[in-house]
Amino acid sequence: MNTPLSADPERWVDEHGDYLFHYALSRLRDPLKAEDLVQDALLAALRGIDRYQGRSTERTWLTGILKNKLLDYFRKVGRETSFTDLEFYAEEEEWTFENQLFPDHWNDGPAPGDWNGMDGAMDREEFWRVFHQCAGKLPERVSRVFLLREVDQIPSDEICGTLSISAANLWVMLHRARLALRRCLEIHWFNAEGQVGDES
Amino acid sequence: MSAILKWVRWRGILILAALTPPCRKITALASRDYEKPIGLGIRLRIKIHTQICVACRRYLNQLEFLHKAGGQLGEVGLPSERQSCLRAEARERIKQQLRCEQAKIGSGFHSRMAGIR
Repeated sequence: MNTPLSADPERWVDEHGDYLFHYALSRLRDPLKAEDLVQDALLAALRGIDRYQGRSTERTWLTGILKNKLLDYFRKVGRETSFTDLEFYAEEEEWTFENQLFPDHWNDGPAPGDWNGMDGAMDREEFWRVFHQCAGKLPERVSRVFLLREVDQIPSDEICGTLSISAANLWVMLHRARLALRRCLEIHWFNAEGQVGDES
Repeated sequence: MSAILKWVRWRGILILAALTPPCRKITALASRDYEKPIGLGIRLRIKIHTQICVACRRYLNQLEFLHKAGGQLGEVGLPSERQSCLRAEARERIKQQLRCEQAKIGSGFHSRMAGIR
């Protein structure tokens, strides 16, 4: 065993603990469960340290293990709970496309505005704060699906398998998540010029 | 003049309404395209629709923006000051568990357990 990691796994906690915890928390919204999963992941990492090839960074390797722990957890709870969040924003979607003259066309109010400064936004730290706030306002499971798909870029069929949902359900959830996130970003970032008010 | 413009605009919307799916459908299809690519025919109709419909054109651009933002977040992660922190208590507990596990590994606990099984 000639890996430099073997020396001090406690260092992982100091160097990557917050990162891993945040990663788990943004997908779980349950601090205690997130702590547990970080612990499980680090223990698994310690046991499997021989398999770390040093090809990726230490953080990437640990995050990969944590991601698998999260997916295992979702797989387990996916069977236990129903996806009622599917109804989420059904009404909002109704209102978004409420048009007296042309049914199912944009309602003037929520119709997309012109986004100025799209190019530079991602370089600004403040933007990410707003992005996270907006993602945080989505119902937990909708936000989870969005993060798994768009941020972790897990293939759709794998998400469906893990969460025990149909492809059609996944599409609806992602679509509504995007509608809501788009509108939230428009209100709190693109129209507000970085001034964030508390809407909720 | 404004009456003519208005007439042209309305006619555009009527053609749009007749030829292409409504905005509600367009937005759902555009979203689905990221999961499972949509067919050529429907892609063409979306193209025609967005030529006329400013709101949907913007929506599609903004959807692409969201997609890129998600990807970037996955690659770069959050700056450390934006992260939630692990509680000191949890930090200690995890360290202790790791020490414990390390001791087990060191004493050959696992290989002996494997032997028992």
